[in-house]
Amino acid sequence: MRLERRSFPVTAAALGTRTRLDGTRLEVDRAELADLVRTDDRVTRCEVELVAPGEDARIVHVCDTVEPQWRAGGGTFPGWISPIRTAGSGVTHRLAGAGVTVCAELPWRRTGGIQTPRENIAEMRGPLAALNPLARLQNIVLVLTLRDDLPDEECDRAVHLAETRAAEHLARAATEGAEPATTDVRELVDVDPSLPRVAYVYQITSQGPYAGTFYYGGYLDRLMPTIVHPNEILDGALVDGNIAGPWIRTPTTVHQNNPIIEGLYRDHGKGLAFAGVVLTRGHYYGMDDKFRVAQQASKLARWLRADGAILTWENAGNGIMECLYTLQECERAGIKTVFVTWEHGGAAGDDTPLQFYVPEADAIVSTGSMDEPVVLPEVARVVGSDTIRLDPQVGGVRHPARGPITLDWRLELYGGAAHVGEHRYGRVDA
Amino acid sequence: MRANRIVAGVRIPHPVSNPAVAKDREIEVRTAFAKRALEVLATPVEGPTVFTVDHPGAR
Amino acid sequence: MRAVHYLNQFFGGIGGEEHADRPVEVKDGPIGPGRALEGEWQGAARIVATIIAGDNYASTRTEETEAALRTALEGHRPDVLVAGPAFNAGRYGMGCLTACRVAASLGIPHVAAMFPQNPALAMHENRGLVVLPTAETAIGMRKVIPQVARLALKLGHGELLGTAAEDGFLPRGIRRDVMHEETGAERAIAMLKRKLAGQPYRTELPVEAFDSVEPAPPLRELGRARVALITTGGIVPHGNPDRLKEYNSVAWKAYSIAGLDDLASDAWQPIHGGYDSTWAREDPDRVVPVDALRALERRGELGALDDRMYVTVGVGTPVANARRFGQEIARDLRERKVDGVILTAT
Repeated sequence: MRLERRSFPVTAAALGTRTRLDGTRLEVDRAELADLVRTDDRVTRCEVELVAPGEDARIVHVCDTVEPQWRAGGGTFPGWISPIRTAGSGVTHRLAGAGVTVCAELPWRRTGGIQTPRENIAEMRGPLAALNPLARLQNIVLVLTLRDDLPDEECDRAVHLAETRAAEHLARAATEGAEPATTDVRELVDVDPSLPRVAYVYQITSQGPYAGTFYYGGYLDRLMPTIVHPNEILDGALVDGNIAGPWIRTPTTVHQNNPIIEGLYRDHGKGLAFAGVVLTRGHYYGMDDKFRVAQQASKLARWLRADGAILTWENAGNGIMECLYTLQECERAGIKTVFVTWEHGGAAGDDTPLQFYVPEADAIVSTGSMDEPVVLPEVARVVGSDTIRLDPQVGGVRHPARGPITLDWRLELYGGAAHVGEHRYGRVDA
Repeated sequence: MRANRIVAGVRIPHPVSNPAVAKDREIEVRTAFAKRALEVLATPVEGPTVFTVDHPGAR
Repeated sequence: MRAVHYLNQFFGGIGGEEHADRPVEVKDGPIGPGRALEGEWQGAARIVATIIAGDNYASTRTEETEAALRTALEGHRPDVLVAGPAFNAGRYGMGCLTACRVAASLGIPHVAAMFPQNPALAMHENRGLVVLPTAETAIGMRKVIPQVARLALKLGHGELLGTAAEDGFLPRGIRRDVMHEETGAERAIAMLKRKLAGQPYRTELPVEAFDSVEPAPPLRELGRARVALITTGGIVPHGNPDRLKEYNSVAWKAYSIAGLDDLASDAWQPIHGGYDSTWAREDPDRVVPVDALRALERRGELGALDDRMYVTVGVGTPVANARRFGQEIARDLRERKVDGVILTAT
């Protein structure tokens, strides 16, 4: 599988009369984009806003972010706007540095439980911006209103259909027929067989509407570990549906640019051989399923003839167990492992960091703590809604989105856990 | 800190019950769990010990 | 800079195991390893007093030891308390860390030294103390003394402690966020390459061992036992009147189940944020089996199901909070003469 990625960098965005790329400046025809999104009649309103890095702004009610990509010859975002066909080969254009973010106030129909579309807040400026995947992107934000008679699964699908449709349209309109700034090839070419082989054991979370991960448009709730080609991940096979866990999710744009995959590709043939990706699910509700996952995932890593493996997980709580049991089985099979994780630690940093441990996890990379309380400052501009919603367990409490906003911990901050190591945050013993 | 007397539950959202069995029989699963828990309270242990419930619906 | 040094009966020059029951005593000036410390300090600091306690005394009579240490430290008001090195001696380690805790409570900086697997370090009350690692036995004395001397001098001068990596002390259960030069992904790949090449690598998070507690003796007569229910599954009265949180709990509540045959779905609801609550909403007994226990109570298989059900939400809750909940609930249970508890967790 050979994927040619043609990158068209975007360093500025503006509204314009037609969607085009002028150098690295993306102009967006907002009416055309909104009309396109509204071809899905589940969407009753679509506002298009642009938000730039460093702006004194906050984006709230974030549902997900997609990097604009267009597969030359058709087939972008299979399972969403194209037929289901394995992604990851051929030519894909991407607007590097841009992101389509979809925001919507989704219904809070229950008082709590894991499948609640919680508040996802993205800070564009200040120290917390370093934890926000949107802070470095030129953001094209779709603020949607959905029909109020939709069941949860339809709401879920409507927002992701909107973003993928918009993302493909922008990439195509801006780059079709144009020359890219850079072209990179992603291919697992044969390399020196004496190089150590490294597998990426990639654990996602998927538990139904608002808490799922989509693979070619289908929920991965029942996923038993499988092998995928890394190009599929880069090329839109995975869409993130984890609105329920803002900090502890991997937005689609992060999947499309997964830094572990990119890093292993960079080193492929130089110091290591990238053996492939084992895709797994965590947070199963029974111990038996957790053991099944560990056995299956470690078996697949062995079938990839891995000498080493990097393991990442997603979500929180008992989801860590699948990953660590898998790590344990890998180490027992002689596969050397590194585990990437965020930490708890309590508000003062003196509480237990992880929910679970295995003694074999002797090489851990930490991406920082979720537990520190934060105060989000007042901002000049909010996009997505004028209010945020907290406390679903009492039916929801609204607060002004402009701020200041006091949060007990960082759960509501979009994408901050950096499960796949996308930011530079970490944590050390003090 | 590790618990000393542990009874292995069914699944996280319903640790002591099994909604997959017939409705009128689900109470039997819960009763099996309740009885086992009481037995375990009356059992000496030396450290963290996992006990299981011997009932077909308990898994 | 004025230091006080804590030693056991052996390093304090009194004698061996036969003196392990010696109570706390305070002597002027340095003794044994204390002299070696002064040798390192070369006049920059001195040991004004040495506190000696027998290993058995210090490890079993904690209250008296703490009281004696407090008196000695209040009297001398040193700039720093140095304890050990205790190497892998567990009772000596406990004494050292007790001395450190007392110093900390008086606002006096401290540093101890012992083998990383010294059992005293696994005790929960000893989290947060500054401890330098040593070899397993006194063969490591010569190597660790200069390290103890350096850190003691730094702390005694009121300088801020660096990170564990910078100042060489054992992870003490306190961590803080930092911004690295490289992304987590870059660091992970680099770490794996080193591990694969057999080169040394350093984990960013040490594995933790969870401590154990002595099991309570078993109930003797179930037919006369009073049993209470506790849950971390977040089953509360409808409307969540006490506004318990869905994660990251700061409180627990006790709700009356007096006279209830079961938890009715229109009177109770799940508010836990970490599991799919569909099944618990249909029947809360699936998380807290009130109906099953009530039936067993009627049949005489337990003496009584206590009227109180204790509720909190476990997910994302700091261990320190959970510990506090447990202590508070236990006090309540004692008052209510509850003999045993069934705790359902999600």
